[in-house]
Amino acid sequence: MNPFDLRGPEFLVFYLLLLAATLLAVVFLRRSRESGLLPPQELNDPYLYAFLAGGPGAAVNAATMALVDRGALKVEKKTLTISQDPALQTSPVQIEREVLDYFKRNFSTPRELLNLAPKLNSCVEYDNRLRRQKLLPDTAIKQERRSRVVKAVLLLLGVSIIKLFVAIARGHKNIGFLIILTVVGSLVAIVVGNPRRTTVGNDYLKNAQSLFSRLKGSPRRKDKPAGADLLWAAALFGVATVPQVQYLRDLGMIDTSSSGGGDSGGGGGCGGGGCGGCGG
Amino acid sequence: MEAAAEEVAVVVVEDKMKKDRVGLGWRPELAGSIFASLDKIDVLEVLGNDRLTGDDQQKRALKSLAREVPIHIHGVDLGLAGAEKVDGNRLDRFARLVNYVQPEAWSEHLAFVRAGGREIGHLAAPPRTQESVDCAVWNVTRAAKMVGAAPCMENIATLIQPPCSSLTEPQWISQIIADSECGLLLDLHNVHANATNFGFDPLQFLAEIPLERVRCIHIAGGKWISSPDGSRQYLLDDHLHETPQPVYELLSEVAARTEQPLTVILERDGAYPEMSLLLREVEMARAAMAIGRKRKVRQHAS
Repeated sequence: MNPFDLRGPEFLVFYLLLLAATLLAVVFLRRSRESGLLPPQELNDPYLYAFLAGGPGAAVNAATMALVDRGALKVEKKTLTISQDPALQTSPVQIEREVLDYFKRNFSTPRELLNLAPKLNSCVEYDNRLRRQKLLPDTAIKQERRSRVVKAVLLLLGVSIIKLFVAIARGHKNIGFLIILTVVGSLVAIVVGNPRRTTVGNDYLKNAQSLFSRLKGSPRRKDKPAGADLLWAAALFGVATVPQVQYLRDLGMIDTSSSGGGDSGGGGGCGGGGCGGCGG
Repeated sequence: MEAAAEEVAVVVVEDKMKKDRVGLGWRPELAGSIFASLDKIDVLEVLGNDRLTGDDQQKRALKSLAREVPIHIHGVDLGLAGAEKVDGNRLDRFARLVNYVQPEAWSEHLAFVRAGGREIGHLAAPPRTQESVDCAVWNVTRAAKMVGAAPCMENIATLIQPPCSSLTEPQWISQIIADSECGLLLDLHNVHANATNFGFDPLQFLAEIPLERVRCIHIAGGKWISSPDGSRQYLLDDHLHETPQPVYELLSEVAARTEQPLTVILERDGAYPEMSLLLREVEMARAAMAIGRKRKVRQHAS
């Protein structure tokens, strides 16, 4: 049976099935090609995870939040100013130093830091490191993805164009649905074929999110700096998920497109659970 | 010649002492602070409960953690000292967890947590009899076989003396440890709490248990509670308070009486203080161990 001889509605069903199979193949091939052994979990650098989760903007937001939490930056109306305490004016962590340097010069335009974030040396280093470890797609992976997506789109387009010619040659004009389906299907193929992280990158992030799952949205104590726990929560789940960071929203620094930390986390966490008398 | 031998003995003890480690119970609420302090924490102990054994993502995360930090898995709901055979599925899930994560060691409690199909939700002390010894040995041996490694079994705290007991606690523990060929996880706050509540001498307790089989030690804190009629006070092992001084003294005592390397774990299950305070407890445990080990070295030297 020649599928191009199918009538309009039947062909649309056939095309939908073809589309689903193509998208599944794109996802399956990408996942299988990009999975593998996880690199060691680097548990001493939350900013690496922030970058992996949400990109340069997320890493910079996490650093800003950590510096505010520590008192190195002070929120004053719509600005962030550097603390007068010289001990707080520097940091051993490069990204924090770069954020501090930025606010030494540009305290009145915090939002602008997000635009500069991809050019910060620390962010360039994180980007290179994550691509070297194949947690983010490197050039080879990107090329492979491109070629896979191009093939998928060509297949969808090719089948669609042939059917359009056949339909038009037979005097049919009800081709709108097919055109819409082709455009939408091709766009979906591009999206699912080229996500920001690799499969290894997703697994790497999910592992860390599982370890820190109890930190997600946990209330912050007002009487003391939250320190490392707050920073990890912001790094892994996005600053938007951390309570009491309204100031970042007021400053226009929470970039909702880049502050999320992925979709996992959840889970119960492996341990804990207070009880009235453990005995153990 | 004798002096040289003594010197060698001292060096051996000192060498073993260097292998002592102090760590912390892994609690996800403290994850960020723990990772920021890994230079001060030698080992982490993860609770291996039902929730964890059934969660593949958590297991994967734990495996990645075990690649970076030495971890122990501490079972809490197998109930190996129960009179009933431990459910094979539960044991199988636990064995899979241990085999997947590949921790350095695993442990459980000398307690029962269910009976007649009912979950107690608590670690309960069985009657200390020859029958309960036999049951515990049978369960522990079976668990060791399924997991592929013998556990360290932990003494528990109890607020009531188990009824119908014919053995003392040290006798009961010693017999199970000897017959099942497993290690002993000595919870010193449990020893302290039981000694306080039932009026025995904790040092005598230490003298009566096989200290040479201790591999791991737990320290923790507790609080005073009143009996229902208000007539007396009990020390409750709740893991929510600072480790009291008598526990550090017992730790020094164990370090002075043993030669094998020991792993000390500070347990804290809630009301978390600032990390600096937990790290101070870790350092105090290290100091207590060092005091005991020095005593041991001196004993060897003299």
